[in-house]
Amino acid sequence: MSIFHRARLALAFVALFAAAFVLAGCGAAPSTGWSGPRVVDQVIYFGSEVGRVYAVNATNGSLKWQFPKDNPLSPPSLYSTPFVADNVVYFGAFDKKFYALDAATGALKWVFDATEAVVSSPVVSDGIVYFGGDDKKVYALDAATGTKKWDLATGGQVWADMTIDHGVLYAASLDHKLYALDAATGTQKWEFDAGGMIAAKPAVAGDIVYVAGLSNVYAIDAASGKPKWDKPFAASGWVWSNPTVANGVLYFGTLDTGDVYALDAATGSPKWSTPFRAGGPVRSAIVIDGGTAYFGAEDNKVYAIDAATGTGKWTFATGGRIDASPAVDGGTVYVASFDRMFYALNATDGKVKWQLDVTSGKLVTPTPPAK
Amino acid sequence: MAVGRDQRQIGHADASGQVRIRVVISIVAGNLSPIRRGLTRFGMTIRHARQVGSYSMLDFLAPIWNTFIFNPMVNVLLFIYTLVGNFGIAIILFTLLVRAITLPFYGQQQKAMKKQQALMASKEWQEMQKKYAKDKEKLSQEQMRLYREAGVNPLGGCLPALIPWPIMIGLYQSIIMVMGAQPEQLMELSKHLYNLPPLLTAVPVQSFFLGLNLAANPSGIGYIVPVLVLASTWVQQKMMTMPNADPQAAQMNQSMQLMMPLFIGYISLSFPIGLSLYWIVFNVVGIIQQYFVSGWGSLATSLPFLNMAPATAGADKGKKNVGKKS
Repeated sequence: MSIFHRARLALAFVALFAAAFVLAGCGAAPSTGWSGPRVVDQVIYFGSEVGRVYAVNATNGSLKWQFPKDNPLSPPSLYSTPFVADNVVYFGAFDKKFYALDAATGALKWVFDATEAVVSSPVVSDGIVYFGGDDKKVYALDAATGTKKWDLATGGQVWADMTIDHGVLYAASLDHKLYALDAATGTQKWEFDAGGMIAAKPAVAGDIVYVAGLSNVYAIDAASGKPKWDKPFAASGWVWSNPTVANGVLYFGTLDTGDVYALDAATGSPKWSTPFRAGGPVRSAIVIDGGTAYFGAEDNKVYAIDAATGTGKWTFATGGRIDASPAVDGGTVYVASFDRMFYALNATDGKVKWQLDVTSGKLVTPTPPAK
Repeated sequence: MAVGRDQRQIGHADASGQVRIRVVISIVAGNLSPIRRGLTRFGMTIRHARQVGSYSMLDFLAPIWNTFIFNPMVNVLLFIYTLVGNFGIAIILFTLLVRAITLPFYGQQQKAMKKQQALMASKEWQEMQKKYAKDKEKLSQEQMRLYREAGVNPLGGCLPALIPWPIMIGLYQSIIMVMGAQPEQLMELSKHLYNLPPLLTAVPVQSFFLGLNLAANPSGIGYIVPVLVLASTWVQQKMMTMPNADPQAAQMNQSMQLMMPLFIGYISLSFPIGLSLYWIVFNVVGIIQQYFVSGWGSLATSLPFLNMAPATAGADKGKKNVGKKS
């Protein structure tokens, strides 16, 4: 065999390795998920990209339980932020199942086969748990037994978190539409076409529903489903950040540009002279507490900014991107980061109170903030 | 404590880029042991490195790659989808379009290979192999002489074969991202779409084609797709390889012909069906192209009934070129 033939074969093998590398590295994007924390009665419930849901003591970070106890869920991605009602924890997973756990012990109460992956976060009201699935359906299950009450087929995957207000379920779909449904029966009251996919949770304040289709934010009359503003607010990037309304101001972040906006909830006019620009895309919701807006971004940082003026207060750098929304409770900001750490930060100055390694389930000594 | 500190160090390593580029080079070279040692220092696993490595490569070339290859491809793919309204057909048309663009490179590669294979099958080459079987140095010199006289560059087929690779990687990445099987992929798409309303409103794409969910991994009847990937890759490999008189070379060829289809078939089991569709179309076009260049090649040995078909036009053409300077 000639040396050239050998060289060609060697090149072919190198190409094979290169192909393997490219296929493995670029093909299956590493799953992250954006399950955030829910704080109820001094216990934090959150899902992690390692494929487990944790219950942690909010005061000291000690682990109460984890689910599953042994092997993690497969695939491990968790996007659904747990909802807690009547001592039951509800969440959906990328393994195509929807779970109900005992909040005290983490024991499985029931599981529902959702056919496809579940990305949306559930909501519970009047004994019914609501969530959307990748099978394009909105589900209503009996919260006690997991038996299906009704479902509604939409034209796209339902990734947006569910919102319920005065007996009306607001469910948004990637089919560009916001559906207003009778929560008890699933009967459609109206639908609104937002002109682009809706991935963020609809927010309700008073008689207005706020929803984002791609980069346009709409204010919709809750009774009629008609737009309230003359035209939608055009943000600088896609809005996947769950809009938040506090003190008559609507807050949300954007992908790509990382701009965070504060709009007059009644008129849609900007409250700040310029939007606050984070160092990376903002998928996290903007959580308002005591005049401060808290959120995470893909530049790995947790931000605290003045909710009235949009000026920065402090940042805290983690070791991974933050797509999950934070939770604020009792002067502490709880954040899940893709560095496989869960942080409890002092809401005033961003200093670490405690830090949990979700891989081992053990507390670790806080690291100094990265420069 | 150690874990937290090490993860912070990874951030520093990322910022410099040096460590990550080294990781990429070592992984591509297939040498994992120095990587394992380096990773242990950073408290990482091979899986982490794979993620870090792939991103570092993109970080390094990101602006050029995105502007000139990736973004146009993503937008063209979506544009085709807006025209045909079916993502399966869009993938097929897009793959055909990209293969048409890279056709000249493949043509050159196949012509060069054909000339070399014809030379190696010639009587003069065989005699020279026997004559200098024990003198490797002399054998190499004689081989070079014959290559020169025949006007064949022994590595001439490699460069044209490598040029379409980045385009194929771009095509592959575009399909993955537009399909949006995972939310992060769709989220990432916002950075790459042109601000054109028809494209923006086209996402997410409807991913069902012939009853199969292109965004899902194979299951049930969908397992036929990896089988088709494996079979089409095998056929193409067989056709590309001409019979070789050297038993050692023939054995190596044979193992390559088996390894590649098995590898691609295995990979397609764990990837969305839409990507497998791309591989199948890619291979079928390659098979048709190869048929017109060299006929059935070694495939006729494995499937004798093919000898019934008049498929040697390409092979004959290749033989005529031997001995002429190009």
